[in-house]
Amino acid sequence: MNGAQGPTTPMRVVGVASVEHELTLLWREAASSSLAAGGAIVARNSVLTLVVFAGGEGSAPRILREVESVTRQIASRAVIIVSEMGRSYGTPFDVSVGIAQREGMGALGEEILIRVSEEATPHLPGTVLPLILSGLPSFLWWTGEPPWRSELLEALVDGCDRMMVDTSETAQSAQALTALYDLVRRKKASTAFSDLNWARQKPWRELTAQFFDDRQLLPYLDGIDRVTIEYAAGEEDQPTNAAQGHLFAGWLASRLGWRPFGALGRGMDAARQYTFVGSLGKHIALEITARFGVPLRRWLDVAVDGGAASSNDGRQAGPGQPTPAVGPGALMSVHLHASAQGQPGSFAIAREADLEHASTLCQAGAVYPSQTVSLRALGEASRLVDQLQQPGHDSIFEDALTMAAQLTGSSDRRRTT
Amino acid sequence: MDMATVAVNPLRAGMRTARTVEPAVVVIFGATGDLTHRKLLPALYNLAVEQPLPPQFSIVAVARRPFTHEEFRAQALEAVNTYSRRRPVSPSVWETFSQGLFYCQSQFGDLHGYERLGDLLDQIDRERGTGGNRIFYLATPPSFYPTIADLLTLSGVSRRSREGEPGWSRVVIEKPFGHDLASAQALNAELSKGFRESQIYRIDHYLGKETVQNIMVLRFGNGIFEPIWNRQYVDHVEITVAESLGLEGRAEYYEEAGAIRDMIQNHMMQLLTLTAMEPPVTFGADSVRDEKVKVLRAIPPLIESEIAQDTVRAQYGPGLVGGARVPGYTQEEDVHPGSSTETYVALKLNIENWRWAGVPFYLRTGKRLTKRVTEIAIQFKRPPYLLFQGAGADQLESNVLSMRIQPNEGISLRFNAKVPGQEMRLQSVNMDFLYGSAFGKEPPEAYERLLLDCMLGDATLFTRIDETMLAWQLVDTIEKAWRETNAPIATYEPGSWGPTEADALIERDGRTWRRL
Repeated sequence: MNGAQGPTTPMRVVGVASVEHELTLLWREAASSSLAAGGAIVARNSVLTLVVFAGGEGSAPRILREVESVTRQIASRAVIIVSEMGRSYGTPFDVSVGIAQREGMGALGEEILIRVSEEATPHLPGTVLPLILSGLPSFLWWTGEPPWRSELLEALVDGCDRMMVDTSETAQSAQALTALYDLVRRKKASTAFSDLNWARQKPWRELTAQFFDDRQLLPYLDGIDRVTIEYAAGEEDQPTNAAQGHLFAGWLASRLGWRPFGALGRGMDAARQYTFVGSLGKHIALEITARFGVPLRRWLDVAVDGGAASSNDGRQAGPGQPTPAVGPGALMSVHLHASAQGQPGSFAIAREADLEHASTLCQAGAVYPSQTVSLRALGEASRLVDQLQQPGHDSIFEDALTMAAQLTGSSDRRRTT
Repeated sequence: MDMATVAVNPLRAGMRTARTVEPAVVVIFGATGDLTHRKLLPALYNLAVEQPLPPQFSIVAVARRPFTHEEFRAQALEAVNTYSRRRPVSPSVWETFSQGLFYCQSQFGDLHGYERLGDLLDQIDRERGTGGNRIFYLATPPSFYPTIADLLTLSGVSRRSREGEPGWSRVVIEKPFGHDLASAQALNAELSKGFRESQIYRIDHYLGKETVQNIMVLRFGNGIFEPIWNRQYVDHVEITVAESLGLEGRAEYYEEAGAIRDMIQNHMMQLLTLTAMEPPVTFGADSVRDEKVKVLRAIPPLIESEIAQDTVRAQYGPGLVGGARVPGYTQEEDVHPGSSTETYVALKLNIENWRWAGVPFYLRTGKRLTKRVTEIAIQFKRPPYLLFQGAGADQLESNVLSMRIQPNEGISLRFNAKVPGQEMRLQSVNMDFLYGSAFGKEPPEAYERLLLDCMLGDATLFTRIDETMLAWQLVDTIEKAWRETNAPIATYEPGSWGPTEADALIERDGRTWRRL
């Protein structure tokens, strides 16, 4: 496979009709050679099918590496689609197959790479959907910006149990959240959805929730009156991606029963202010602002490079290592201001300068110990592989998305009027 | 699970860590020992990195040697950097983690030391907001357990465990819990002066293993196994815990324990009860443990003649393993030359209840065996082969469902299939499921799971006193019979699967041990 690392067998070019047959042969060969070498048992387990729309040839190698990391870890079938405008491969579908192995574990997953000539793209579902293993969960990962409302997208979504997108990869995050919400609303009866950008934000939600696990601090939740969410942006003349900020706001509001108030958002794109009414009738001011000048890289590359870190837990980058960076729109800080029984409380999480750690600060009556955590270890570098173990609908995400789309939808309307 | 967990935080809805840990102090007795350095500190650090634990979470290490807090923090850092699966340590995370790490010097039998410990715990409560919540982890040699339990109560350090006072206290005790029934009862009596049963967590790290927990999921989370999991379909069950290593420097402990106390009384009884128990109503601590206890109660008391016939004890002799010469057990360093401690035990047990009557459970465990493997095999009854006469059917093996606990954790089902060709020929084949290949996720260490459960007040994976006592009762009966009848101790070649007497034990019933 192009860009392959590690012990994936060389990809074998095959005809569309002989994919299953050729894969069976490859497994037999792997079993015989492992047996001859006294290696591990080769068992053709499968627990899922992953269909990946990898985009054009330019982005494909990076996506393929990510898929290989899945097939080496999870017994699965990956169907990877490479499709580029204006590109022809001399045949409608250029198909090759291979199996991935992990040291000491024998062969694990199988990969089917389909390069699609432009003229054949509309016929893609008829080729891809029969390759999905029956009776097992199937996932569709659409890298980059999905062609919302297109026939191709709708057909592939209809054929899979779960669709995964990444709103950090979209050019217009506000429109992307609205379009994703629209897709979820229409398809949720048959397909579950996830956003890798939501998954990466998990440590921030965990740390926020943790403040209020303490019974003495729980009453402050009803007394929140001001929220500030800061997200990472590059240079000031570059577009920003506020998807994480809006999803976080959507999560807080949906969990705490806040209702948007009045005309909703105001302010510039880089600093949006919203007002909510809490469950006790109290007004809450929420601001989502961009912090400019943060080094940005695609999340996919941050996850592999470890951003600043060389170790699991984020030790300092050494010479020759990439400079610290985060993905577009990564949360930089969250600050909740609240009061309970007349006592003010302040709850803050802030990303450290190394961009890999965050520290908490809690002052409510007393000062509580601060804590520094590795965002990476807690899931900010969430990989595709983590998402494949999500069963069923994530109702918390869907609620947060509904609220986020309500906020961004209002912003869109304001922009267009 | 007790009500220590907070269930009303609306932000917790749908989170993986829906169970949250309350602020608490873990007090480790035996803080400079191997267990603390290799397992406990790395496990607590890993939990802090991944869970995360609340910022108030604190650790107090208690040991006899004089160290300052800073000196102990440096040792702890080295331990975590050496043994944590999350090494190297992140300096930023360590900085806040280590601020909650304290050291208290004390002899385990010195009452004043416990008073100093009490003062330190009160100070931590005040300064770090740990709310009087304490876990006392006894990671010392077992001979110190009664003393520590006694002084924790006498000094009032465990006082907050009493009803009506703020905070909670729990005590975690490593195995072995006593060395026989009488000593286990005495230890329990000592602990009961300061702690209720619901506060006592008897640890058996086997129960923290993902694959052991998977036994319950396999049995009760699937519709196809439970209907055939009984005497109508099962011929017999084999449980093997084989080690390829010898004593590894543990002669002093092993001379006292032997294989029957080291393995049968705890790990193997856990595997047996999880395999044989009825479905619990919930996964709550008492529901699961009630069912396990019922299994132990259904094992009829063994009489002397049965013990002579249905148990085998043996010692490994000198020999060659992997081309290297290894000493016999009695030639090992720190082992008495005339020692009669067994390094191998095989036994047959019956469970006289409606599910299992007539289905023998064969258990075997030993050191210096062919390889390291832990497995539970459910051997099903042979189907009538008349239909396939002449097709090699008489040579066919019965269906076996084997649950491999370690290594290569997984499940394997052996069944018969037709050999391709014109003739009707049958052959046994295996359908394998490998845990590691299906879920590309590194499971947490057993100690991480167990420590977290204890912090959460969930005792499901800890042994209850009645379980412990019933297991000791069984072991004591066997030991007593061995002693009083001067039962012979067989020898076996290191690197083999055990003595021929163990083969005879199962062959007498027309069966053989599985080749693993």
